[in-house]
Amino acid sequence: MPISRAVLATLVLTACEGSISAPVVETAMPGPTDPGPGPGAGGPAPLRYSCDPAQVPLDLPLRRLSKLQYVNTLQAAALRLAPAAGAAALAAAAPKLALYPDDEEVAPNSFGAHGFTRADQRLSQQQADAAYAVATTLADALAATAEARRAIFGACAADATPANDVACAKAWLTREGSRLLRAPLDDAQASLISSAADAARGDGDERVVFGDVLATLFLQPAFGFALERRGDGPSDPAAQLDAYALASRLAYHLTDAPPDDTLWAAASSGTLTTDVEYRRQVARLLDDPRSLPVRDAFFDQWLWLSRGAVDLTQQLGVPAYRALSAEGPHPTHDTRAAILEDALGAARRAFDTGAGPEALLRDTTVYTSDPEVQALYGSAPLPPPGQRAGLLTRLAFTANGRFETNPIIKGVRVRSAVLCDVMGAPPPGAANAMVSGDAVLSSREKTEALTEVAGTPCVACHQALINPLGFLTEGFDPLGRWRTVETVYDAQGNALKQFPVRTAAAPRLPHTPPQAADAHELTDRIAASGKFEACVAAQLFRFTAQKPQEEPTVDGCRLSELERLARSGASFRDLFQASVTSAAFRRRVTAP
Amino acid sequence: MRDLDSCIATRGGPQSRRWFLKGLSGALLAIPVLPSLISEAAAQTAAANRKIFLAYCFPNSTVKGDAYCPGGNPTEQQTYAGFTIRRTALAGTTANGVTRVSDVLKTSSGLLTDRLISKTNLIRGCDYSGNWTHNSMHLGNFGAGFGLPRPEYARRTIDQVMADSASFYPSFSGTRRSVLYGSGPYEGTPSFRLVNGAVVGVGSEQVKTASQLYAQLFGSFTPGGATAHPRKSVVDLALQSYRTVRASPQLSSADRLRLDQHLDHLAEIERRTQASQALTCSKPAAPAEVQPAGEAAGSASHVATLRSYEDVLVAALACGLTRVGVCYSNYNLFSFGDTADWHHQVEHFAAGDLAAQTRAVEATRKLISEVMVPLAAKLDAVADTEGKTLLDRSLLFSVSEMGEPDHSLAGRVHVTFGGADGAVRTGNCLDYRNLAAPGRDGVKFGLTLQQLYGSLLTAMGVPSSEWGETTNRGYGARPADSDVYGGAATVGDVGAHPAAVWSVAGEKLPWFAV
Repeated sequence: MPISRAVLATLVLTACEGSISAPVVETAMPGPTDPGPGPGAGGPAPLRYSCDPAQVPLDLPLRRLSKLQYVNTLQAAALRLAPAAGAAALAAAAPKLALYPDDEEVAPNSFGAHGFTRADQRLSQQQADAAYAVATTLADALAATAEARRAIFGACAADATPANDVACAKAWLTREGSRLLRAPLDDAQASLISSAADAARGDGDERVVFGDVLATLFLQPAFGFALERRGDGPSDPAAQLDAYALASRLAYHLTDAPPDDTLWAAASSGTLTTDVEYRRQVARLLDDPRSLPVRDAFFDQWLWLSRGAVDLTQQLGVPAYRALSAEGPHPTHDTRAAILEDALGAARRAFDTGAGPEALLRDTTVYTSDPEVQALYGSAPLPPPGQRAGLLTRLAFTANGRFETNPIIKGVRVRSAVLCDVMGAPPPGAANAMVSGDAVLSSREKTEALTEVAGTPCVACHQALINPLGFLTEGFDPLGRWRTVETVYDAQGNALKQFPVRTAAAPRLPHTPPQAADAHELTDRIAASGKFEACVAAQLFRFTAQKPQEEPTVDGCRLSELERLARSGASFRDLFQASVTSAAFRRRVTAP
Repeated sequence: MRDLDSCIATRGGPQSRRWFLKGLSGALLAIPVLPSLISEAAAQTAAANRKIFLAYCFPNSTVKGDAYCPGGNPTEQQTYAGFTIRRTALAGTTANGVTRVSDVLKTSSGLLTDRLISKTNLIRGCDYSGNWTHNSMHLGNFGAGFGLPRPEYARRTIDQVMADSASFYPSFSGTRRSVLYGSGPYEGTPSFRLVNGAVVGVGSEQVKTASQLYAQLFGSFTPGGATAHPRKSVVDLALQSYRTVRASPQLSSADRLRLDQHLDHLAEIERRTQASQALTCSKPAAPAEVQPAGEAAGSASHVATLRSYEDVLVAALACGLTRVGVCYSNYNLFSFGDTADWHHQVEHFAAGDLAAQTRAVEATRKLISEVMVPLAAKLDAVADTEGKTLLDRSLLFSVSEMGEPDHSLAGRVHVTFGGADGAVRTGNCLDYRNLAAPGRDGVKFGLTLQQLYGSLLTAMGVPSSEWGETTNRGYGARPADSDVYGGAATVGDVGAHPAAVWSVAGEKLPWFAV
């Protein structure tokens, strides 16, 4: 098979990691984030979002915990109940937990886009089955011995006297139930759960009945769901979250875990509902190391980092790729993790130093000590002067581990993830497009021949919206190395031809000069367009509200607040803080 | 494992069935080797519906139809829907220990016996005329195939129609309505069900290893009629708590809908805990934990991964623990380890490049002949006292993502094994193409996919009142003219089925469904 044909087909894909691999083309769906008017220069770009106080955004109905939050909640409960033996009990339940379905990214309604796993609110039989199996297994392990029951419930749970078991369980629930269920436990709830200890239900074996008490507790609605009261509108007093609900919402959002002792104390005392104390707790949690994985998940899923980072050794069996990478550096299986570390390191650095979106966009420092990644950059901690432009030229964006670059995929990623523009689906049969002839072409030439032919349905989106964003980073090869020349190989790995790399293109970013020369100017244009900050606002909103996609009009107040902050140079820390200190975060409004 | 006679003694009654391991030649062997006892629950439902549906779904496969169906003169022809359709009896030729029916149906003669060939069908010429692209339309839900959701075409897939049907499952007790399994990694799902009125993909329920499937099906199963589940009270109490919360005035109607959904799931667990007390079926040993092969593992490793489900699956089917299964193999299953990008380097060219087509055919052969044939043979080796095997009750159904032209949904050929408990005639290549039609991209359109899927549902005992469409009486909506591949301009020409074809879409496929 001539490799040039295979390459052409590869170029056709826009989101081949998704279910559809076809060119993105313009459709009748303009989308709320249409790139806007044609290229131009001058004047500050207008804000994308505006606030209409009359609009009433609705919260999601009855949110469930994410899988990670559920796991962390189980862990916190087990270790609270049995500080010494909890880990062994969790290990016993681990095989059952493996059956709990993973959360999946829920993409916005834009072709080829990706979203956040937090937005996955699906309920399934498998979740319920796994939760049941986990609850009973963990409970059995925790209540397996008289010593363990005594430590958790008191002596009454290990005295071989069935008659006092229900009272024993209820007394324990009165002490501990509220904390484990993250809200005050009323007498009816405590009675219901403790009735699991009724010997009449089991065989009187205290191991069984107290196991059932724990299992029943782990299966309570309040354990796996966010039970928050609702109001009809922002001004409805019922809409304001009470201290316990607010503590849970904040803790799960910033740490993926239930409230810790300090936050629980603030909730119990009622001080959490004061603005001063609430902000103090927000600041504390943002500094807490437990919030780091949450922030990492935000940046990772927003920028498609894990999705985009590939094992650069995977295609070494392909002669063309082997030839391309022969001169080194020679990536290992660990290189992918280091590429991720580098990209996330930039985000962490921005957060920790009080930097904002533009600093992340322009930061060229290498944030990994991996020698292969440093070598791919040319030098570290700073790459050779003039080569890298920042985020879009990190290996996580440029290295694709194939035998040639893919400007279409790069373009779609920048358009969708970095600029938050909406794209429609390709027309029927678009994936069948091919280029005839055996001429040896550069990656750019192949992309142009395939998608920029006048009169084809591909040209509208590819020429204007997608390809230029990919062409502008063609100064980096499939290993992410800086280059000025592209070598094309045949299927046997023989060099066929060399091309000087052409990066100049028109990125179609409103309110900026139409042409850009390379990745540096692309970064300048993006920074000047205001679209990156607007995208940060949209992504942070999606992450916080757990919605796959914002509704610009209805959600305009939260979005515009974040966008204005981002445009004013606020730091990522400020943005995260603003996302949870907004009035909307602290209330719950739903339809009746 | 308990011996056969002692188990029979615990059951008795006219509906009791004994399951024997049959030799591949069809002779009954004296000693039951596999989990050999049908459950009480399964026996009770046997009189009504005991059919088994197993779908094997796989991506890509731009394979020419001739690779599936043998050539030669048809055994029978008839005029149907205004054109001629053909039936050719299947027969194998054996050489060097390999039996060949066609390029795709070719494997060890010890597995692909004359007996199994007689229980096989190849179905060609039931096409979908809507938009062509990558899709999740293996088992229906034509709303998934447009790149962006198209709610007007969204439907439960046929496996989930069966799973939800009281005609298919007269009682849900003691059974898991459906299982999804396969080899990862992959994205998307071939299976969609109705959740609060919306069609939702259920790929998240797919297990990735045989030990996970074992845990799912046998995890709470206790053999021998002993008290199976001491934890019923836990489920009861959880249900009570949810009902209490549901009554809270602080909840919205949307909150209650989600609670109801979870309540349904808890109720399903409760049903199983009640029913499992009656089950007497033997529980097989847990399979070893085998991690799915990665994308670069090559086809042999993926075949092994998919075959690792066989024993758990056959045991569970024999015990009546489920009757609907969907296997979804991963994206690069058929990579041979020397191809960087199977999809773009092979599948994109398979329609016009002989070398690529040869590789695509061989890859598809591996799933059909090295994964499905051994499973069919295993199902055919478990028989009841009437001599009917699990395969006789079953319908194994293969469905690729694409057909003969690149990225098309037309020109697909389906392989079936088993007779759906007498509802399906077998042993034929059924060619429903209209060879006199102009065709499109090298494919002659024939009958509709809507008719095939309707026939499958009918054969599985699910009446059309549970899934029939007003637009065509088959399964799944007829594409609007504007959604036909190529657009409205091709309607009435080559891009769509003619009215005569749509007029029969609600009928059983000739020669196929009894």
